[in-house]
Amino acid sequence: MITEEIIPGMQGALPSVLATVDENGTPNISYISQVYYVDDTHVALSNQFLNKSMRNIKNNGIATVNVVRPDNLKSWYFELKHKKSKTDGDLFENMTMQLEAIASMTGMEDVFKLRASEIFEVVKVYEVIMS
Amino acid sequence: MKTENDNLIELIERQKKVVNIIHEVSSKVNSSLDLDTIFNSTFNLLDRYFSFKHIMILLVGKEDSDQLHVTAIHGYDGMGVGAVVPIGKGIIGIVAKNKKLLRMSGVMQNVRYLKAASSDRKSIDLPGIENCGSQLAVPLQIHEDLVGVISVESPNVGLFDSKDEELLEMISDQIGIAVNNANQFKIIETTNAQLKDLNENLEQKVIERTKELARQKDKIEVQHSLLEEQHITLGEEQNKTQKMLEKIETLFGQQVSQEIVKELVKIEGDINSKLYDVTIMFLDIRDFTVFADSRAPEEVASFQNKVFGELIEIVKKHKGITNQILGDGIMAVFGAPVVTNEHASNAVAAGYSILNKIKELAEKGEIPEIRIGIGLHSGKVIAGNIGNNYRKQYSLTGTTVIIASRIEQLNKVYKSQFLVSENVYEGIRNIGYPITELGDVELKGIEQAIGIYQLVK
Repeated sequence: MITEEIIPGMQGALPSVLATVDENGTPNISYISQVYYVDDTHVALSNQFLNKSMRNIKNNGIATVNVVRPDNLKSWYFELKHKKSKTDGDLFENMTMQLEAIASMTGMEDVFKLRASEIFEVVKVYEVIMS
Repeated sequence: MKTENDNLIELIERQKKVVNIIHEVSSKVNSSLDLDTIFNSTFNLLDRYFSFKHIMILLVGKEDSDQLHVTAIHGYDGMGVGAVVPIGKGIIGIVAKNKKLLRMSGVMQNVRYLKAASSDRKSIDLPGIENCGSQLAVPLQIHEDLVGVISVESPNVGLFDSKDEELLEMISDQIGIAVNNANQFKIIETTNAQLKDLNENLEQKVIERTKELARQKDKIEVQHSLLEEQHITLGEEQNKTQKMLEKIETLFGQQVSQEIVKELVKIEGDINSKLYDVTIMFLDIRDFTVFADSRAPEEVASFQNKVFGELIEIVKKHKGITNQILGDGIMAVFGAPVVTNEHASNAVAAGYSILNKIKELAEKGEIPEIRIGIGLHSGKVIAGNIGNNYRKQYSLTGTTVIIASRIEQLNKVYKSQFLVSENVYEGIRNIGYPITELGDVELKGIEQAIGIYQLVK
């Protein structure tokens, strides 16, 4: 589902937009720094300040995210289905390390802590055609 | 569009390069112990095969193990060696902390994102390129222990991928081996030196026990080093040296350091009676007779052996000669038969060293607590070889000897442990020992009063 062509867009070069919706149908979008590649049908998001987004996702289990390749600005939408919140394992540790590395450069390692890595199944991928 | 074939060809090309580089790096590691050489050729290979333009190797500090020191760099305009990264700070610091590799893209974008999202905390300066787009850092480990980090970075975003992770992990294994080899080599060198040292100490002990054997060995050793130093050919010269050594040993026994023996051989054993400027040391163990009377003879003997053994060693170490062992004390001379201008400071240093040693032995419980008195005086003596062919002694005569003895006795009056005359003081005044002036004192049998100084701790 996630082809090799998309992977360069999943390295945190350009922020992604995460869209969710609450029980009343009110949409919410939020910028996230990286959509992590897990395998070709799964991605992970880091849960650090995603209060409203996570409430919506816990509520209905769905979200949409877009990723952009920094070199040619090609862009894709992923339709996501929430699977689980992980607080251990290689992926969680790697995401924690990335966050710690960046946070420690700005003296904020005590502020930014990864709460969990949120694992999603990618239900559908489609390229955004720019006219 | 790239076909599957193209991709396969690309993959094979890359694998070829990987095999080549690993082969070249590992053969370098196997053939050299010089880390600089290994690091630099690794950098060059990484640049040549994979166009890695910014590479650095950081090693854990020897004294400050919570920091990494930039040890080798490639592509930073030669700047940056010596820079420090605290473990736990930045990508490299986090890799070190977690002992896990980390690949990041959009490093600077992420930093900006966090800065924007937060208050005005100060960011810290870490070595690296200014606009880092992607970075890959891999820990260097020996077994489970972290020894450093190798890092590559690029201003381009998304430059490194999982294949680069694999490559750099293989490289880091090789570098780890190189660092380990270099460390092991250092350890072996130090151990060798220590063994050599131990050996020398052991020799001293062996000398004490198996005098004859050790004497032969020392002779050979001294001859050997003399031969090396002076390129003396075998024959007449050697006989001369041999005779000299025998003569010196008959005179001084084991109470002379090898250094002095060598010196004596150099001055061709010119130890006929003549006038020397020396410092004489008298040392006395207080209340020794009281101690001896209340102990078993074996205990007294073991105490004497222990204490005098140590004293003689210390005197030797400071280029002195223990000239006589009296029942409860010793007399030592500094400055003869090998002339030196530093006889006073050598003698004072020896005196301090003796006081410390006695204290240390008593604290360890190896000897009972005792008080000693040390007296030093510098002046002229007639020193030389008195006796017949069977029993000869290196003997010292002159009022200097008597004054030194009297000064030692003064310790009883002043309840002190270490007194020296004004002459000795002249020789050490520049050194800055803590000294109390006790004034001029008249000594029994000596016409002129002599200035006395107490050396304190």
